[in-house]
Amino acid sequence: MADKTAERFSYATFDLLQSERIAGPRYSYWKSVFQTFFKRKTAIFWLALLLALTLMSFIQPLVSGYDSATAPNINNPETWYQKPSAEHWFGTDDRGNDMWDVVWAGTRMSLSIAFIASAINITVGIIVGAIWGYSKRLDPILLGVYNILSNIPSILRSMMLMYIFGRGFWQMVLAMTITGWLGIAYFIRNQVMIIRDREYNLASRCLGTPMKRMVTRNLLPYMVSVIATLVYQEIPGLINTETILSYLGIGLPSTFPSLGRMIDVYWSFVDTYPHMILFPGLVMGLITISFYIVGQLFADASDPRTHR
Amino acid sequence: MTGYVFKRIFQSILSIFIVSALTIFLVYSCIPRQLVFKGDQLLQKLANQPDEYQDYKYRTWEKLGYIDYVSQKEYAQATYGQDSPKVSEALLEGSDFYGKFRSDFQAKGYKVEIQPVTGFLYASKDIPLFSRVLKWYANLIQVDGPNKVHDPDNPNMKRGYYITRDWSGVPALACSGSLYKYQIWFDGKFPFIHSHILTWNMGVSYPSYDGIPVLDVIAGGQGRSVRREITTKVGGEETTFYTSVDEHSLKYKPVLDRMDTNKYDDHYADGNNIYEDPSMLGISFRIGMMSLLISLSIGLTVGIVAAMKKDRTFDKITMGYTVIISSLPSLLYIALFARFGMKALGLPDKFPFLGSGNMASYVLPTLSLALGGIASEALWIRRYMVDQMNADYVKFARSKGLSQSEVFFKHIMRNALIPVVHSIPEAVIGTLSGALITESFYAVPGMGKMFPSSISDYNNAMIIALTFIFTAISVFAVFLGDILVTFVDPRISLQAKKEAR
Repeated sequence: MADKTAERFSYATFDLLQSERIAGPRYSYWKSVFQTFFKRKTAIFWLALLLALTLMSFIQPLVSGYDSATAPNINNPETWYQKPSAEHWFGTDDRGNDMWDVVWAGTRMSLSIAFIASAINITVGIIVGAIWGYSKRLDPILLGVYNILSNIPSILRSMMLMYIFGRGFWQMVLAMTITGWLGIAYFIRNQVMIIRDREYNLASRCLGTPMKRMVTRNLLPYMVSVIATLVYQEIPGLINTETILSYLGIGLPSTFPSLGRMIDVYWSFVDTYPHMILFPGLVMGLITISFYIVGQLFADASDPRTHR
Repeated sequence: MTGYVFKRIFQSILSIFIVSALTIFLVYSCIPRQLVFKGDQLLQKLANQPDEYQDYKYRTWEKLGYIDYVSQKEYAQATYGQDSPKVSEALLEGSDFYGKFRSDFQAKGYKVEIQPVTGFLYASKDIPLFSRVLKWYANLIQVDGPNKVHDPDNPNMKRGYYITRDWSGVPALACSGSLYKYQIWFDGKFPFIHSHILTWNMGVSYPSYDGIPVLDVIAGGQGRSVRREITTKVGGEETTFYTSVDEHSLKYKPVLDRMDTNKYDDHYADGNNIYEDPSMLGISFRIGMMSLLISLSIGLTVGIVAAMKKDRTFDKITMGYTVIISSLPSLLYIALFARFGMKALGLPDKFPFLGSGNMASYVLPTLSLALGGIASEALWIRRYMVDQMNADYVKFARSKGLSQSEVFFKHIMRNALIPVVHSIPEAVIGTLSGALITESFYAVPGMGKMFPSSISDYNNAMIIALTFIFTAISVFAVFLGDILVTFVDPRISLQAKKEAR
């Protein structure tokens, strides 16, 4: 009988995984971010609008075959200055170009510059800023550079650089990025300095965590919402810069379509043919506003304190 | 504190110098020198006279500091004297002077070339970039005094200071032998006491505003000159004449004509005119100050009310406005606003329609500038107030039974206003640099429009000077803000504290 009892039991082995399990609801950071974000109807609306406009401006110019350097209808006066109609949704301009094509080509140009330049600025800014905030040896050097360059108003800086590099797409990207990362890096540096001396980091340092791991694992995840804030301010800001430079005639050359150029070129028709100004302005306004709002909502959602 | 102030001033000056040196370096090394002629009408007229074309180009480059340039005729005049008959001999074909010119200048490292039509020689040498930068600084501050002017035609000029009265009868310190007649004088214009002892020199504008010193372009009047009747003593006799000259700007003029001797006793006969319209600096300052006052008063009020009514309709409208203004390209909302102002209010959407004399011209540019200012002031003050509202001391004050308005205005607002005060000097001085996009859109003849237009004109001297001025303005504004904030908030100390880590 005693043997039978022994058969009914077995020895339990020590399971490391089981012992580590915390009894509680599963928490995934990114899942919570998206859950919080998509809970809001306004967020879904603006995100859909943003995606639609962005996709449209990157796909439509590929299909339309519009080339701003040529004006195929220049000799057909009947195609000029047409009001919006079923055939030409946004009407036509003073040279018979379909405004629908012109607007999307211009939006694409402005967006491409803003995307490329902000990607460079933010990547470089975050990397340099994280190292800058963490390394005490680098701090005085970079601070000196920042103190000198930040004294020049940023729009002046871009104009100056455009003047030196000449006019063109890549020149403009260069003018926006060559010093554009500095402000972001400075911002990240301040954030890193605030977080770096908190207790959990002190403990981590005591345990001998290497700097690279400290920066990537301990500091950066803390700053997702800060970074999201930077992104949503950076892109409309760069679109603004592009518009100003092109409008003032020191940005993109005249053969490039862009919002700034469109306002510059079509402004003289604002009284007689308002549709030439209305549609470019509307599209660009919607894009920048939706960027800003989506970014703001995402930054809110990525702050862990807003999670349930 | 004093030690800190000196350190900051030193740092500020250093950073201004580095920025302007970088600018000069970049402008002179990266912009092809051929481009400065893009807007030059005269050069285009010379296109079918190759010799004059070459000479004009090289002389302009010399004026702009790119090269040292000597023509054969100049060298001959320098060696034999101005009117010597040997000069024309030296230019004859087959003269020995050709060989002399070539060997002399090649020895000095010049590049000697031949003019295409006449066959005369000319020599040129690039001025190194580094010495160009140094030259700019060396000429930046000009000192005037009794030994400044040396005129070979007027060797016995009296030298020394004396007290005199200007045309309006106000006593002034004048000087003979200096570049400017009036050294110290008083008038009704800010800052009331003026001086010519130390003057700034930032080069001469070219090709736009050709030949006018850069600072006169920015700070001198614009529009039509003003003629007025002047009664003064010339050669001991009461004389009355009409003139538009500003007597305080009178400079030494080597050769006087009849007109000059009728009006002036001495050689100081070369003055700037008085103009109807204010300077670029003045117009930008007016527009900037007005819009600053508007954005501070409206923006702060709106932001404070929004913070008090957090999450209610007024707050939501305010936040909606700030989102729209900060996300839209500024050109777009300025253009929209200009249309609205023109159609609904009947105001001019271009400044020159009514000119600077009419208040209506200022309304739309000022309000356009204020649109952005209101948004940012409201956004920041609201954020600071909301931050303070959750602070422990506020909860404590409430629990001690202070009334809502007492907590708000005596505690929260005082703390929230500190960062706003910090930014005021920056905003005030920043108005001097004008608003690039607003001024360009409304065609306001101010400082903001000057920078983009100098870029499209390839006006290098102006670009360098403006970068210098804008940088200096912003450096000292930030500095002033830091100082001001220590007076407002005694808790803030500017000295660096010894940190634990």
